[in-house]
Amino acid sequence: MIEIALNSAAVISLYCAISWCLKHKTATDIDEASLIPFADDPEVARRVEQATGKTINAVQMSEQSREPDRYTLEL
Amino acid sequence: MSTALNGQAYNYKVVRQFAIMTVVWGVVGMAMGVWIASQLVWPQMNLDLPWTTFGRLRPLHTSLVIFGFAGSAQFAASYYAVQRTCQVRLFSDKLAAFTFWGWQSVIVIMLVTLPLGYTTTKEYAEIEFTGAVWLTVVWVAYAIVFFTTVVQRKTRHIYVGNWFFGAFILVIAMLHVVNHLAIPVDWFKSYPVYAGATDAMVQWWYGHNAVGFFLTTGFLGMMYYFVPKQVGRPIYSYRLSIVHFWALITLYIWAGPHHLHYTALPDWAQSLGMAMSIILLAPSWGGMINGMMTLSGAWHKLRTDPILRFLVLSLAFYGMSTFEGPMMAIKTVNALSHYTDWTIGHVHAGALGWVAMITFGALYHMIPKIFGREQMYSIGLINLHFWLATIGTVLYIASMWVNGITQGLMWRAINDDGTLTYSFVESLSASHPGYVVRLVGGLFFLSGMLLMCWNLWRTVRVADLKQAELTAQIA
Repeated sequence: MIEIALNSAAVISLYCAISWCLKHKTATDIDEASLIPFADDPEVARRVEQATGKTINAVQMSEQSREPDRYTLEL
Repeated sequence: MSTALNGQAYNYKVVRQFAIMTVVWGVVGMAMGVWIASQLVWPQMNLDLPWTTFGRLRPLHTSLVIFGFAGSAQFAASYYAVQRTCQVRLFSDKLAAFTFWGWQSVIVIMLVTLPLGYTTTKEYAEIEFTGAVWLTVVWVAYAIVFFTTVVQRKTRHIYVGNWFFGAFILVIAMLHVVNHLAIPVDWFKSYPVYAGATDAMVQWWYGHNAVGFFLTTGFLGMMYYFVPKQVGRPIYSYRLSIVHFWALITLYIWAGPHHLHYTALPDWAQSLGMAMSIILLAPSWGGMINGMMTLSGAWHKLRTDPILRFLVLSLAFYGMSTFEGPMMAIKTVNALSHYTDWTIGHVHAGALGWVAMITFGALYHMIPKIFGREQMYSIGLINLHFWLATIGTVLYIASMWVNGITQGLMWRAINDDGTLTYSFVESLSASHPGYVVRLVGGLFFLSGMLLMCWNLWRTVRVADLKQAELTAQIA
């Protein structure tokens, strides 16, 4: 009997923990988080926006890029 | 689309280093696998030398592919993805470089000591005490680099892929330290602090979670970044990915005792391992379905994109092996499958089908970007690699299924008077054709790996690091 109670408690705890994790997230938060992989690549972000209709807060690459120190293949 | 300017460059150097070593260790480790597969077909391939016997080369094969190939792949992918999803340069170039050279030295230690016979005898944890301590130092540095990068992130959220990478780093640290607790008697020999059934339980708590966290959780982190990127769609359900994460890390850690069914381990522990393994099917398939469904509306891309094919097929094999695993953990099924080649087939369904294929997909996606190229040298070669890898994996696992079930049935067959129907050698003879097919499958897979090596070399040879640096500029 104690085993069943412990097992049930474990499952309920897991359910409560995940629900608690998710309850503070709005639909916008979830969308924003799921679009992070595209957010540092404006060109890809534009294509994803067209395909999904969602807005991505993309970071643009710097126009005045720093010159790399070396041009040889550096492993 | 709103945009903002940021101001620094990603550290791609360490990603390049790990990416190249992933391929190098992949070739060496898989060649070692083919060699030991040939030893089971032709025993003469042991060469009558102590250093090249199956018993010494088999742990070397597993160590090279797990820690060399899969480990380097996860370093490369996690360093790449964490920077890009946190929009910040990797913390400390020096410490990141230390993790690269430190990790490579750990693999070299394995490469030298295992053929010489220095081993703890614990599966996937064969590296002796001194090497294990050094591995711990490197791993702690990895954790510092990864988690400090996450802390310094410019994004509001921690992307779910980084949760998986983070869990992989933390849990592997815990497993490695606990399983390697030992009393050293000299530089190359130590004895575990555990004894008997306790030692076995600790070892398989580690062993199963080496699969669960080293070969699954980190690769799920990879999946959550590279599948959406390659498809050009966000993950199917971000909510499901969070449920997947918590359920997976909660359940996996309990499943180890299924490796010790019908042994001296207490029966309740065996049953617990079996029950947890069966429950584990739910989060595993949740993750697999989440990855697959990311292709909704973009399935047509599979026709033309071999990189995506690698990623999707890896998910299919993930689904298949995470169904097979819980099934094999059921005690009555295990009574047939355990100690047979079925287990080897199962492991390789995961190792070749899931781990290696998702690594190939991730590398083919990542390599052009970190070397400043538009794409890999040859898309045709990627396609050919895909088919060689697929055929190789299918030949491998099908032959091991047939062998495993044959062996299990022959070992349990008894005559009316209670004596065994078959001797062990008869089951070995019956397995020989399967060993030949497995060797052929391994050769297919290795050929694909060599093609990848060639494709990588031709891409890297014309690398445009100036372009790579430009695209790495974020701030």
